[in-house]
Order: sequence, then C-alpha cells, then structure tokens
Amino acid sequence: MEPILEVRGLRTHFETERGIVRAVDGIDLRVGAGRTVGVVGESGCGKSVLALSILRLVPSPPGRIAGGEILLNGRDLLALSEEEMRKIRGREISMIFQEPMTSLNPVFRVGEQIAEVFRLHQGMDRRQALAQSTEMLRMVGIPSPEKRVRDYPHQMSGGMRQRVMIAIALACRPRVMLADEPTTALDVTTQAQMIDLIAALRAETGAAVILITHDLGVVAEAAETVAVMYAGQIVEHGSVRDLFSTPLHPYTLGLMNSVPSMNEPAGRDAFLKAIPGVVPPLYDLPMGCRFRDRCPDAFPLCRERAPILEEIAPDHLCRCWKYGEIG
Amino acid sequence: MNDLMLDIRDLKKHFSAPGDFFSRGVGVIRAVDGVALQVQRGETLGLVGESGCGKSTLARMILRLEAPTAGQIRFEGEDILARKGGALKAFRRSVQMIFQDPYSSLNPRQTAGSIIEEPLHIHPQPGGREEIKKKLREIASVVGLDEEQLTRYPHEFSGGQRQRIGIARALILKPRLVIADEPVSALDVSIRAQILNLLKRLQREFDLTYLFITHDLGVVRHMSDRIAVMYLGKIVELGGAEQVCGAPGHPYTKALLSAVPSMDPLQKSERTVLHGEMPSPAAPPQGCAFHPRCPVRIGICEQREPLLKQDGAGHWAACHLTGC
Repeated sequence: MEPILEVRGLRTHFETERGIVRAVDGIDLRVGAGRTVGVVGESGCGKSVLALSILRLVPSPPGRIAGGEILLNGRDLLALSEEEMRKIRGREISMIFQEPMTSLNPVFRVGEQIAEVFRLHQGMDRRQALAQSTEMLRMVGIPSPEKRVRDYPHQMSGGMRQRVMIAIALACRPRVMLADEPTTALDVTTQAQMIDLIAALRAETGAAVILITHDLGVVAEAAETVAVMYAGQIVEHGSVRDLFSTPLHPYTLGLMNSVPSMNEPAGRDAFLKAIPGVVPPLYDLPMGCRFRDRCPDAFPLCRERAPILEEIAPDHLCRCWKYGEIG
Repeated sequence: MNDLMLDIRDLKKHFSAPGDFFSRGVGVIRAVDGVALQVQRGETLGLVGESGCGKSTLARMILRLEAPTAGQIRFEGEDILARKGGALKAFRRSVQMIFQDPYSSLNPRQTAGSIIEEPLHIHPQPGGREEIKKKLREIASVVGLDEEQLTRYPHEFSGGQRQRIGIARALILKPRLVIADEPVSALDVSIRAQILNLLKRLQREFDLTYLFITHDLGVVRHMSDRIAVMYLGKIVELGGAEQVCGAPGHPYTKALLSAVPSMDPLQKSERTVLHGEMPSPAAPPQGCAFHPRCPVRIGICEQREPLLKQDGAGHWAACHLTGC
C-alpha cells in the first residue's frame, strides 16, 4: 500500500555544550491510510523529537534537521517554506500531546480553542466554527457538547481534556495524526476509552496514525506495526504480531520482560528480568552497538562495529549482530 | 501469619469543598469514606485505584500528615491518632514513605548524601558523626549507589538513581512499615523493573512491611500478597493477589483488569470498557457508588449500598451480586 507519510533517513541533531546529540539518527518509517504505526521507546530514545521533526517544530537552534526526507504523499516537507509548512500543520498533519492540561490554553473556552482551527484553516466565521466545535465534541464522545463547548479546561477532567485535544487534532480531518503518549497521563479505564476512540476515529476519517508511547501494551492493542527505538535509532521493526510473538532484538525482549505480566506467577520470589544499567548519554555513545553495555548477548563484534537494521524474517527488521552474521 | 501491624477502622476524611470565586462552599468531599484495613507484619498490601479514589489521602492519614475526620488507626496495637510530641515522633520513625516523583521529592540544593542522612538528624541516635556516616555508606550500598555519588546533587542523577536516593532516605531509620505511593510510576519501563526488584530484595533483607499504592494492576499483582481495590473513597474489594486478579469479585475490579492493555496481540481480550468517569466525591451516587458505570447493575444497586461480603476465604467484595 502506498504510504501517506514516509520518513527516510531522518537525522535530527542538537548542538549542546557537551557535544552533538543525535536524538534522531537515521530513522525510516512509513504509514498508510487508516493504519497505525507504534513507536516505542524509553525517555531520551528520540521518539518525541521524531514527532516534532515531522511537524518541523524542533527548536532551532540548538536543534536542526541534519538530513533525510519527510514525504507527505510524495512531497518533501523539508523542502517547504515556513509559510507552506504552517498550512500543513493542523490541517494535514496534526498532533495530540501528552499533557492535556498544559497543551490547552487555560484562559480560553475549549469551544473557542477548537474553533480556532476551523477559522484558521477553513476560513469559517465565528458562529460556524463554534457550531462545528460542538459537533467535534460530540464526535469524541463528550456528553452534552452544547454545554461543554463553553467550559474552560480546568472545568473538565483529565479524560475529557484529552478528548478535547483529540477533537482539536481531528478538526480538519488530517491525513496524519501524531499522538505522543496520548494516554500516559490517564487512568487505565480512561486509557482504554482513549485507545478505542482513536481507533474509531481513525476508521472513520482514514487518517494514518503514528502512536508514540513507552507502553508496550498500548502499542500491542492499538497498532498494526511497531518500531522499537533505542538511543536515536530503530532497533526492531515489524508487525505487532511478529514483534510480540517473536521479539528479535535483546532490547525488545528486555523491555517485555521488564513489565510484570498478568499471566505469569507473581509472589515473594518472583523477580523481573530487568535490563541492567541505563541508556547511554546521546552525546557520548559507545563504539559499536549502542545497546551492547546492557545486552545479555553481547560479544566482541558488538564493541567494534555498529550493527545495521536488517530484514531477519519477512518484514521483520532487527539491528543486531546476533542475526547479522548469518546473513 | 497473624501478627497485626496496622489496624484501620472506619476511617474517614471529609474535606469541605471550597467552592469557586463566586460561590460559597458547596458541601463535603468524601475523599476517604469509611475504610477498614488490616496489614499484617511482613506482608505487602497493594492498594489500587484510579486518581481521585482516595488512596493517597488514606496514606497521608496513616502517616499523620492529615487528620482523619473519624475512625481509628492502630499501629502495633497502639492508637496513633492520640499520639503527640515525642510519642508521635517515635511512631514516625517506624513508618516511612517513598514518594512517586523522584524529581520533586528531593531538595535540589542538598547533596544525595545529606538527603539520605537527614532522617538521622531529625531522629538523633547514639554514636554521633561517625555512626551517621557509617549508616549512610551502608544504606547507599544496599540500594546501589556508589560512595562517590553521595556528594552529587539530585539533578546529576537519572530518575531511577533518584528513586534509589528516596528509597535510601526512607530506609535509613530501619522503619518497620514502608508506605510506597506510586514509587515506579514516573520511571521508564526498564528502570521500573530494576526498582521493583530492589524493593522486593530490601523487603527480604530488612523484614519490611509494605503498603504499596499504585494504579498499575500489573505492578500491584507482581508486588503484593494481598490487594485492596478502592473506588470513590471506599474499599470495594479485598483479597489475596491471585484471588483479586484471577477471580475478581467486584465488577469494577473486573473492568480495571480488562482495561490493562495486553502485550499478547493474539489474546485480544474482550474488554469491558467502562463508560463515563468516576463521579465527584462531593456528590457520590446513591446506593452503590459504582452503579452508574456498572455493566451488571440491578435494581437494588441504585437504592442500597452494598457492604463488603466474603467471596471465598479471605476474599471480600462490596457488590450485591457477589456470592449470588
């Protein structure tokens, strides 16, 4: 299937006092209409910078997109002027942020904040835009939307605010929706509601979704394809089914073992197979494989040469010498 | 195991609702509304619930950081609510807390070492300076901090390392009961596993009793011997970890469990997605507080509040349908 959004060899660097931070270091990603790609990783792996790069919102300086292409229906966003880019944001690609409290403006009614999108991108007048906002609130499942449209953010619960964020993101029926930890600040029952809502809206609007999260369970439920990121790179990429049933990269396996499972025995003597150590600082990466110091399977080659992302099984890619030597 | 450490009876905390700028207070928020709970020596009792269910208020009352509106708290047989002055201080020595956010719970201007040893200055012990330094080195090595790191400031540490500082601070007084309020929620997945393992190891080493508060069912099942589920200020289910997670007796617990995203894509469970949100504790629903969201409610649920009923040995649930 033709991808709507395709990221090729994207590199985003930050100049810091300690050296160049390669937050996104050669990422390839594609997502088709009505599909969801999950990007999983821990803090500092570069997943949020990836989202900001796609929207060209990386603060510069210190940040800069150092290379690669971001193709929206074949058109390279990196070649657009700021003026043209502004028309893409919110209309063709929109973003749902993690913190609905800090991402909404506390001094405006939520209705006006949704209406702003319609006025800006579709040139509606105030009344039309407000009527549309009410419709959007209805669509994201907020009860009595004609009343709620006049609420300020603080009058709503966390779950409702996140629904408002989703309404803003979907207002212009974007072709791509970037969701950066959309459920992290929410309770489990609200999280389940949000996962279902995003799936339903995706089916309705045919948007492509890039779901960024640290939660493997959320990805398994909500995405068809997964990319696991570590230290600025994708270390494993595959379908949800393949990746969760036969994880290839030692980091992916380590992450899965780190989460207490509801099916495994618990109790006094049940310890988790934790990944030792911490993520290396991005300005001072080790030679060879970036995961080698935490890896249970590391061998001498891992210290010398950086592994490349290779197709180990059909459509299942992994960046690890464990398999690379065979091919 | 029948050595009662903490005995909570009919504990309540009602806050008066302040109202907003234009209106007077609108009534009472029943943050904790009649909780009874027993913690045995050496066990881990997990307390699960979503934000606003009252679990943190409950913890704060046990620590005497919040005065209850009504009820009793007994620690090792003694009424702690009556304690004052020196006796209260002695109690606080035996009960310590590990906080959620390792970023805001450490003073940025103190070194790791001085943060960890501070409880020893608040509760002075014989031995003086030398003894304090010895204890500091001991506890630091137990939680996995290098001696060299003790002279550094919190911002120089990662989240996981900071949580180790918080744990060392809580344990340096050799407390008997440790209340951990979402101790791993702010941490990354791989670091979370390291800290959970550390907490288990420390429990064994120091013979600790844990009250482990979290919203994460996977974590609570992994850590706890028994689990209490809270909803809107009340305990709605209580039992052994396997009983509560394996055969939940309350529809809310069932919904919570089914809302946990599964990592097994082949086992896409039938989810009971709860509709709506937890009602405001200022205006809890009549009858069973859960009935407006309950998928299996019956007529009586709107009228009568269910009491905790036994649903197997040591397993309790507050639902009219339990045991039917």
